[in-house]
Formats: sequence, structure tokens, C-alpha cells
Amino acid sequence: MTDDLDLRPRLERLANELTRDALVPSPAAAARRGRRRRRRQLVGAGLLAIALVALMVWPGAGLLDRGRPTVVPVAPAPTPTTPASKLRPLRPPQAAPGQSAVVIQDPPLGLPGKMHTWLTECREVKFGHGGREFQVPSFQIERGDQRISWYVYPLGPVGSKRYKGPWANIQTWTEDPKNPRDPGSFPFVELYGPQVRVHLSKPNGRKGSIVGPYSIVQGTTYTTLRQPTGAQVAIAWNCDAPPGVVPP
Amino acid sequence: MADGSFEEFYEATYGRLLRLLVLVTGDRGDAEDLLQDAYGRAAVRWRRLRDYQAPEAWVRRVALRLATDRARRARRRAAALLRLRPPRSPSVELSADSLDLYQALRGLPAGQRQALVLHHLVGLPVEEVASQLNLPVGTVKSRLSRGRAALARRLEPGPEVVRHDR
Repeated sequence: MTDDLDLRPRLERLANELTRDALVPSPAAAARRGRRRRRRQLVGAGLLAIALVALMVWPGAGLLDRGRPTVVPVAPAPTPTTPASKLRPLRPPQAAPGQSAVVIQDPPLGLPGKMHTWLTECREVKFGHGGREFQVPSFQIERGDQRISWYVYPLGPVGSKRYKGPWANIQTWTEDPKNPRDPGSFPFVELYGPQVRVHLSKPNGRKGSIVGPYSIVQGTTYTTLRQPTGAQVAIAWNCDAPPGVVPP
Repeated sequence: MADGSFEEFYEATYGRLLRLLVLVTGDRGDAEDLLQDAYGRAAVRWRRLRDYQAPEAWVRRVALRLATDRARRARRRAAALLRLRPPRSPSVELSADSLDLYQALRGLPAGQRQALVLHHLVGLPVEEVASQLNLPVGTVKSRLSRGRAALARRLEPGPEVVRHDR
């Protein structure tokens, strides 16, 4: 590198003039400064470590690592209207492969005490978003002009503000060609509340049952016509059927 | 330096490094502050540093990096203010030639200033300047060349500029 500007002596002269009467501070001051900085670093690292440990032992820690939760239906917590001790014992019925079975104590609304039918729909029960991830056994029984169907949402209807947790209903209505009515406008049997229990025999929920006291609810307006008594309803479903028997 | 104490190292190198930094930063107060910071970091690592072939190069490198960081922070913090501020004057009285050089250096980008000072004042070869600044050799050569050209333009008496103000 050539130096046409004669830079070196000029820079040296400038540096000398700029530092002409500079005092050399004590090296101890620099060392103290270094130690203070190191102490600050250590304190910072300690606080960071404490924060990390606190984060690890925090009850919510690991939520991100757990992946998709398994199916653990949780009943909501409205005030129970019927003490558990007053519930009449009821074992869920056995559902044959591809079928759903219902047992109703003190059957209301002209419903039979026992029913079973083939499943027409069988989806996997799992948490998630999208509205199609809840099992809805859907079937219909015809008795003259009476129609009966029942639905089970082991985890509660998706996106419902009214229902949080396991929910099932049994609908019944009459077909009157001269005066057709929306089936949803008839009173229906509803299973919902903290005393409703869901048992999933398979982790994916394709086999299980729901048991609990029921109330009578007016369709459309959703007003409760009758509070739960000790009588219960049990609905069992079994999707373990040969392919083709139950739609996937 | 194998058996030297930190105090000996400090006494032996402080003046040299201050001269370098005062040219790089343009301000003795800043240079002293940065140098104290760099020596402070060296002090807490002295057991390891004293075995280095050139602990001075370590301190120089740290100080230059601190100078770059500080300049960057200051630019970010008050870019507009810095632009509006009049050129900084030296805190000590300088000879005419030194004042010209000082002002010319102040007008250079920090990267060019660092390369020029390390190469021409400290006398480091281009490869070592590149190592100190953590830059490719080509970049250092380019900075030196552009820096010298810019200095020449600022230092050489040019033709009188006639302004045609309306």
C-alpha cells in the first residue's frame, strides 16, 4: 500500500496531540469495571435460570409438548338439580357391532323404555377445531307415524355456547303430511350436566356409552319443561362393525 | 507476556491503544471510556489472556468492536440529531495540519477510518487489519483505497469553488 499522503507521521502527530496530556487511569479501575460487568452478567444469568426453572415447574409447563390431548370428556359445572344419591342406578346397554342401544327409565314423551338401531354415522371422537370432529351417532326409528332419533356428542357440540361438555338428546316427533313440522320444534329428552358420565371403551371413541339424568326441553325455544328427576338415560354405541355396515 | 501481570500489560499498552481509539472515535472521552471497558473485560479473563501470543490484539479488537457498537447505537438513537449537529471539534488544541486531518478523518465512514488507522498508524498489514475487523481482505483493501482517496480529496487544496447563489 503506497502512502502518498504521508499518512503515518501525520496520524501519529494527530494522535500525539489528541492524547497529549491524557492521564493513565489506574488499572485497578479497569479491573473493577470488568468485575462489575461480570457480576451483572452473572446476576442476569441467574435471573434467567430462575425464570426458566419457574417456567418448567409451572403447572402449565409442557402444554406445548403434549400434542393433541386424548379424549377426556369433562362435564360442565352448572348447579346439579338432582343429588347423585337420588339417581336410580342404570347400567348402559350392550350395543351390538354397528348398532346403538338406548335404555330410558320412566320413559317420557311416549318413548319406549328400550330401543336399538343400526348406526348411520360413526365418526372418530377427538378434540379439535373444524366442527366435524365429534361423533354423532345418528339414527331413526319409525313406529307408525312416530319418529325417534338420538344424538350423542361425547365432548359437547362444536362451537356451542349453550353446551360445554358431554351432551346427548333423544328426539321424537310425529310425521303429519297435512301439517308438517320441524322435528326440532318438538320437546326432546336432554342429557346434560355434571352428573352425565361418558365412558369410551376405545381411545378413538368409536365404542362407548353415555349415562345420566335427563330433562325435557322444548325445541326451538330451549326452555326446560321438566327438570331431571332420579330417572336416567343410557345410550351405548359400537362402531366396531365389518366395513360397510357402518359408514366411516 | 506469559508471566506478566495485568497491571504491567495495562501500563505497557494503554497509550498505544488510546492513540488508536482516539483517532477512530474522534473523541478522547469516548476513547478512554471504551478502552476502560475493553480493559475491564480483559482483567476478568486475564488468566487465560496472558497466555495469548498478543493480548493487546485481543483488547484492541474488543475496543474496536465496542466503538462500532456504540457508533451504531448512537446512529440509531439520534440519527437526525447527529445529522443536524455541527461537526465535532477536538477537545484539545491542534496544529493546523492536525486539525485538517482530524476534520478529514471525521468525515470518513467509520469502517474506512478504522482500516486507515489500523494500517497506517498501528502499522498492521492488510491481512491483520482484516482479521482485527473480522472482514475479508478484499473489503479492507477497498476501504483503505477509498479512505485514502477521500482523505486526499479533503486534504489537498482544491480549486476555489465559486458558488452561484440565486
